[in-house]
Amino acid sequence: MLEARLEQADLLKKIVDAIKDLVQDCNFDCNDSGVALQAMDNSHVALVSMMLKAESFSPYRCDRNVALGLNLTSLTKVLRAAGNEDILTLKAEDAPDVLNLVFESSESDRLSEYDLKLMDIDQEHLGIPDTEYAATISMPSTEFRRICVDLMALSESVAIEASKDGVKFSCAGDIGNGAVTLRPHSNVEKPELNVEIELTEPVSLTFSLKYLVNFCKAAGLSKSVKLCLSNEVPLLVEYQLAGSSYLRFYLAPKIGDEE
Amino acid sequence: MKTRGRPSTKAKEAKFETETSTAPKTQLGPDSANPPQLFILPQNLSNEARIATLQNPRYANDSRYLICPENGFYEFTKVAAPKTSPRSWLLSASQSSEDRDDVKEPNAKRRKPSGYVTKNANMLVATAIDPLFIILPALTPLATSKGSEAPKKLFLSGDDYIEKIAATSSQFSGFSRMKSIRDLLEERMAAVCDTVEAGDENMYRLNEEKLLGELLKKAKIVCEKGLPPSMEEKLVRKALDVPVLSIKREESSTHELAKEEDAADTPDTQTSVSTSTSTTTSFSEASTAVTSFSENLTESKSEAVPPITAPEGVADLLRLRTALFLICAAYLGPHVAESVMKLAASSTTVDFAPLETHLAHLAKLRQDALASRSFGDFSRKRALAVEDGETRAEKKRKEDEEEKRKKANESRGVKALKKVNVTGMKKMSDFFKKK
Repeated sequence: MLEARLEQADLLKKIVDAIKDLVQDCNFDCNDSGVALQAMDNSHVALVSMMLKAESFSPYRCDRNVALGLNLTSLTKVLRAAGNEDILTLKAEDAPDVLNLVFESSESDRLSEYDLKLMDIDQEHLGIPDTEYAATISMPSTEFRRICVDLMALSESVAIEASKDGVKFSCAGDIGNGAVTLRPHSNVEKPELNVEIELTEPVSLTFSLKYLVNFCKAAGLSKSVKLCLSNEVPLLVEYQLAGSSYLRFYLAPKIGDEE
Repeated sequence: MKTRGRPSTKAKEAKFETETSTAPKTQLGPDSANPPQLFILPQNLSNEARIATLQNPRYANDSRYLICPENGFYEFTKVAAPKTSPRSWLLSASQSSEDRDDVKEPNAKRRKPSGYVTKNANMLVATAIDPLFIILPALTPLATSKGSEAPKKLFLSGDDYIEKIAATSSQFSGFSRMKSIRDLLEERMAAVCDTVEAGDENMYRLNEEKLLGELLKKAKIVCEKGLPPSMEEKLVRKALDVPVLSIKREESSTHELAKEEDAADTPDTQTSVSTSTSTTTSFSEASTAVTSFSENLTESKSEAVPPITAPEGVADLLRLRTALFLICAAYLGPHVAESVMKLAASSTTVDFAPLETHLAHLAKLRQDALASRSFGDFSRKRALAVEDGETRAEKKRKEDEEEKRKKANESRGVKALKKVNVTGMKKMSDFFKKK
């Protein structure tokens, strides 16, 4: 039996919103440490990995490991019925057919309850090793989203060059080219606006902007975003959530620009 | 072809001089590894008669023949129910002739459950075959190597030829010592061979002219009795059809009596006159028409048959040639058949020239008609399309529905990502190992 109570429905709403444009169906794997999710997009070039630790819920109870196979579009429909400030409770049997969602309004005594049919999803789980990245860049999540959106107007891919001077996002398209460079920056009053670059060696990689823009839908979840790059490995875009929960996206770099 | 069933020797009066004899004692229990088979065997077989493996004159593979020292050779024709409508024989011992005749049979034995249900309703009918065809492979050895001329034909004694057959079939060697069998074969050899006397022995060498003569004799008998309706329809009537009148639409038969060969479906050549041009196709056509004989029989009978419009004698010539092709296709090795056909074309015994000219004339007419006709006439194709069009539409509808359902649950973002150019991007599984 699974019972997980979230103080704010908002969190799950935003997570699902951020993922639903990348994957269609996925399993929410629940065990005693929390709710985890790993899924790839249709082309298998991007991967999303989410971990909502048990501490994010109050209370959290999961007697047996269960995989909740959900269609994210359907889940979105149900979550739309929840107010942002509602208390959300997820409930499921040990071998569930449905996921039960209860929304409690904290202000009024409104209580809504939904059952969402589950599906069997065949998914392969990939083991993601801990990697020492050559470059780790933290920046405001809105800044990253703005860069991606701006550059996508010009081109479909962006080159990210990290050096000790800063990080440069550049693109070249049919109508012209453009580049945004960020230097390390620290704001004492608003630490969330800091730009930090940790570098062991310079890196330059090219990525699909469509995918990056897609990842940026998670910007609402966290004020800052962490980009981790190394040559020859996927880019990691990480949004830290409360506690040690996280939402991570991986994207394969474009190799050999032969267009 | 399995030939486990041994014919019962007790004769039973039956129509058409044949006698049904079931396989021996039936077995019960789990699937027999060697199930009984049903045979229709000729009457009055001698006790010496056996089923033996001989070389098939046409395909040069091993086939089973029934050999009777008194009555000669028989080949087996398999009559089977189509695979689509499974049938079986129920063989019951209490019904067999022995039991009925023999009243003194101990009761205990009769009460013993003794029935067998065969897996399929096959029936093997033994029909007489000219021993000529059995000896023919020995008379016509294949060229030893490609390109070289056919081996020089030598006069050999009848014994030598018979030994040749015995060499390919160990089961025949027992028969090859029987005088009646030797006489039978030598007699037939004499009909198609040049002979010389050497001492007290006759020596034989194949004469193709004589062989053709023999075959034509057989073909004429076939024609006199009338070709099977399906052959008459497909190979004679259709070949002589004058194109303008050939709009008549045929009912394609749905009930298919499946024979071993499913070749019955080979497209018939309405527009090409392959009979005159390529011998090989017409061979197969001839055999095809025969296999599909039974399916068309009922229909063509009921049809009012319009007279064939062709110069006098041409239709008979075509029938004769069709019969000849059929014999060649069924019983002669390809190399023999080829030389026989060549010979037939230039033969003086039967002049096929009027037929050739008429067919050429028809071919030209047909070509003209085809050219003048609009391309809209695909009646044959359409008939086919309508048939499986329904099932196809249904299938498509189901697929569409499923896809639609899937699409409905697909978010806009997922759809958009499908269009993204992912060239140069490796799959995630290339970076991360599967758990």
